[in-house]
Amino acid sequence: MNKFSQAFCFALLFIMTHHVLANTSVDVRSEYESWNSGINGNSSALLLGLGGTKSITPELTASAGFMTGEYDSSSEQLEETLNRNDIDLAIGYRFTPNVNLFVGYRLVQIDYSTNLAQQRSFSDLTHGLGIGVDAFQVVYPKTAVYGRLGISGLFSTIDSDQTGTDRGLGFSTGIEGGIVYQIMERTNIGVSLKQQSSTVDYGDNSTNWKSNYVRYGISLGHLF
Amino acid sequence: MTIHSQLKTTANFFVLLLITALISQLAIASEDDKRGLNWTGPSVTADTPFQMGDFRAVIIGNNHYKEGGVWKNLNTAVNDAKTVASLLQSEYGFQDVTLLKNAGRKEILGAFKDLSNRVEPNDNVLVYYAGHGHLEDDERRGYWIPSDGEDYDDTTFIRNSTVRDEINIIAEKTKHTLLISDSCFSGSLLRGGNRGPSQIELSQGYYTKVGNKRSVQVFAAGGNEYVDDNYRNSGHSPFTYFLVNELRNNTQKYISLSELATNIIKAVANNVDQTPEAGVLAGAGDELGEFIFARVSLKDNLVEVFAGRDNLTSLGKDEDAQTTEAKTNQTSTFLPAFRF
Repeated sequence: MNKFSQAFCFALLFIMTHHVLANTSVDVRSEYESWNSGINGNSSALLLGLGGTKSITPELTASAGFMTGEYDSSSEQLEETLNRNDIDLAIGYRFTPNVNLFVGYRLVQIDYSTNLAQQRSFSDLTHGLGIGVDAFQVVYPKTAVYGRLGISGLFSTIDSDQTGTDRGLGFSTGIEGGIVYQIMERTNIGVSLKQQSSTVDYGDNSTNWKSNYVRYGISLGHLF
Repeated sequence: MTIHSQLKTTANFFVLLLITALISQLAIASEDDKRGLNWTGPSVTADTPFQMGDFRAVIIGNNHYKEGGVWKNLNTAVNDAKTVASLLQSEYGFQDVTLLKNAGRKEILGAFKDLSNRVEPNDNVLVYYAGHGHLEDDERRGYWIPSDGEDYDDTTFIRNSTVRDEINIIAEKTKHTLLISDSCFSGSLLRGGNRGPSQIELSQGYYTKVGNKRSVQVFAAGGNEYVDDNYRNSGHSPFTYFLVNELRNNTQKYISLSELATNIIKAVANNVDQTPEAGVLAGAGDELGEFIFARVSLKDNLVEVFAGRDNLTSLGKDEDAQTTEAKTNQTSTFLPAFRF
């Protein structure tokens, strides 16, 4: 990135801070993911994420999150490279100061490259509507613990040049716990642990896909 | 992309965000650079049994007076003012607090004028003064002595009648106004007003009743008498010591000035040779209402803040008001974005 581009990005972020991001919290996060697909063995990856929550009213919020990761995994049977992108969009309604209910949309795009002769590369586009709840409790000045639970339906499409297209239906559940600590007036750091399970049934001609993720995350958040 | 390059990208993300955040904070702070120190705190407008606007205060503490003059430096007035300001902001939801330390005449009157320009019809306005006071020998005129007050030149003082006029102007514009004066002869501010706290009927509707009526009250550290400076080396005058003590130890969600004053008057009178007085400012439109302090506990504040309903300033329980900057009200969450 040259100096002009850096200056442009900085100016753009500055303008967003004052005009677009008013009443918005933004977080960047990094998550170490340990993944067991049930088929492809264990793998791990470092994921990067950017999220934002805008308060429309004191009760109503809109949030968006994006995560990306590219990683290699290998087992005795399989070597593969995955490029994964997640997008989450949600509208939340805060019933009490501590409890927020979300409904939203989730999209996961994974591009695989493998050493399998019959399937060198394929992509998996999975999306669906979800509902979730989060709650937090202040446990000490400047510190809060939070918990989250979400479930979403999944509609998955796997496209492969060699094997064609498979479509499946399934669902995903996720549970997350974390601690947020205020390091400056408007800035916080957090650690989190998330466990997520997904199951997709591709029908008779294909194998059901199950996966379990455990993600250890750190985050840095700022309220504009 | 390797893990190394991902880490590098992460670091770039964080650095860029931090720089943007810091610049943003500086920009916000510079927008609010006004006379004295202003800052906003948590709101206490939710779930009140009566219509309640913002809580605003001008807090004045004068320790330093002209060298070699008749007004000797005080020990505790600035600390009194800072403590009261901090307490009101952190535990009683005062969103707009102006703290003046060692302020001159012009500065004090300017703060009154600024405040009167900001108040809204349902606001709760508190003015606190700690510093020297003076009463003329014939007891007809009382004064506050600003830091630039010169010996017995009363043209450099602030007359009680001027204070009353300024309070009147504010009271005409808002619902509840309270003047707390911790200075010698401050009881002279009450001259002509009804002495003694109001009768308290602690029925269920008490706060609704008195909260909806206009109030213009005065709470003075003493009558027409000298008052002490440093109570048992506490760093506070006896009056402010017990005022702060009562406010800190109050466990009620709401407490009226009359309730508060009853205990403070007893405590001060029992321990030092002065008797605080509470009453109304005569002719200022008092309708037998009450200034009500609404407690917002630190924990409640934190819940509100993490819920994104309030201002983050309340998270830092600043003891030194000088480090607190003005912030605009924010409404947003403080948790990472939700992901399914």
